[in-house]
Amino acid sequence: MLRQLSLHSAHNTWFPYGRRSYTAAVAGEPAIALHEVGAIYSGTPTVAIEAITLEIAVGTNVALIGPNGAGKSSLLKVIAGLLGVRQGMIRIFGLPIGACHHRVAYLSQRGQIDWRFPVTVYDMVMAGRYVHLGWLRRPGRDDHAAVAQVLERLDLQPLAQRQIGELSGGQQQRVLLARALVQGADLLMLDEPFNAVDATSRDVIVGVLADLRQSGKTALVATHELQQVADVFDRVVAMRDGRIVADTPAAFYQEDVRVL
Amino acid sequence: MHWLLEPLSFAFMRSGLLAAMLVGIACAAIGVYVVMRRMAFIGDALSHTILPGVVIAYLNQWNLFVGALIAGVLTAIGISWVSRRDAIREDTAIGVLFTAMFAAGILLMSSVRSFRDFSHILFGNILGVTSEDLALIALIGALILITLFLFHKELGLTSYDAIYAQSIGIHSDRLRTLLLILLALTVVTSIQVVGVVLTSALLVTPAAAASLVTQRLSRMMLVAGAIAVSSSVVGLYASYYAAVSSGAAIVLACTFFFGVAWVVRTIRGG
Repeated sequence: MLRQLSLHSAHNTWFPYGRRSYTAAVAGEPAIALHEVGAIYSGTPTVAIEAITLEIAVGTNVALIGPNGAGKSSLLKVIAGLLGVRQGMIRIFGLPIGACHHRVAYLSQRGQIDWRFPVTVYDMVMAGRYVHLGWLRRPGRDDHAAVAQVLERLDLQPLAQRQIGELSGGQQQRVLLARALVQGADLLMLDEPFNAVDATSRDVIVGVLADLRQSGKTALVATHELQQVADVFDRVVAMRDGRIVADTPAAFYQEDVRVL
Repeated sequence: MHWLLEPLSFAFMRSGLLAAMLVGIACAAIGVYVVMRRMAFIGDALSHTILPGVVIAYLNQWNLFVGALIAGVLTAIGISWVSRRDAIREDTAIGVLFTAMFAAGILLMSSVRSFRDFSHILFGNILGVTSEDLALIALIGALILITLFLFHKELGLTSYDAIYAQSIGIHSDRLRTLLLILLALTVVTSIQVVGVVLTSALLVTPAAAASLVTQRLSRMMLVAGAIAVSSSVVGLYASYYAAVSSGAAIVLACTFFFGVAWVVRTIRGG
């Protein structure tokens, strides 16, 4: 049963990051379960999302579509524990938000990152392992192997020692996806991964989403670009003014898009 | 060689040089974060806001260093608190706070008979460093370097992607407060070397110079440290032989190295 949530689990409120946060998922529970969830932007009375009820089964790819300001990013941030919940109930794999950070990977929008900060592609991707390392621990052999594998998968190996500020938009997006993948999460929340990417990067990202579905992972993807990538989604959820206005199997999305 | 060894025959020069180098290394390491996170204004503000703490300590005959430390840490926590509020822009709030605190410091100073008592706070007193000062500077410098080393992966991540860091359970605002407290500690130690007015130069200039010649964070810290140490040596020798202010000479030496780094970058075509 769903219960009233707190933003983070009661334990580890001060130092929730690292291995101490590992908690087993509740068997048989959906990847995401929201009931009448509402949230406002921090420090303002403006409603970000309102009365969202949504259940996403484990192993499905869901596209979240809608115009700018529809609440797509806010919904992802609520599920990632980045935006406080004002009302409603929410469970991730049957657990409260923040109960197990390593299980949920959040891919930020490119605009939220300082690409001029001096860090290489390799080190940025390695940051996806931090949630497993926690405070004070350095990456080990397994972490380096995981990073190398994901860089190979996303065709980023030749760029590994490049500064992140030297990458094209599509390459930056692939690096963000690589970081989310290297986390080894069961639920991936991707905010506009197809935004301003070239055809090569789009194909790579689509391939990764297809692989995720095959391996039983769950993905919730906010996107404007549904036309060319619809095949990798099982469901399409449309939002407007902070509310869900349509929820349909991906095969029928074209009819429902007109709702927008 | 005589000209090189002669200044070192004086104990005050040896202590001053060691203090300047220790402070320079701590400033350079944290200065890289200050420059790359665009916190130069906060560094400048911190150095000015400790003035009332120093004056209050002086008036009550407490340890000036402790007065500076308390004012610095309180300011760091205050800036961190203000930056979480959306009502006013962070730089505006800091601008208001730091000028008010600096003015309060000057006001308190004016109640004392002579400004001379505070001249070493305003402009530094590197040649008056005692062995106790040196031990304290070394201790704080070590604390800063060890903390930066231990938390470097989290400090780095929160510097370029605070939202992802938050999503994996790292409290970016708490790490920022930690960085501000370390910055306050650095500022307090560097005041002994160059004084309130020039402290931000030690924080910003070596790190900015290093950022022109390398793009690796760890390498940037090493280059900035080398520039800070070289500037300490050059500045202190210049002050000895030309009989000029040591703090100002150290800062101008930093600026010289910044100019060299700029030329190197231009020649490389960066």
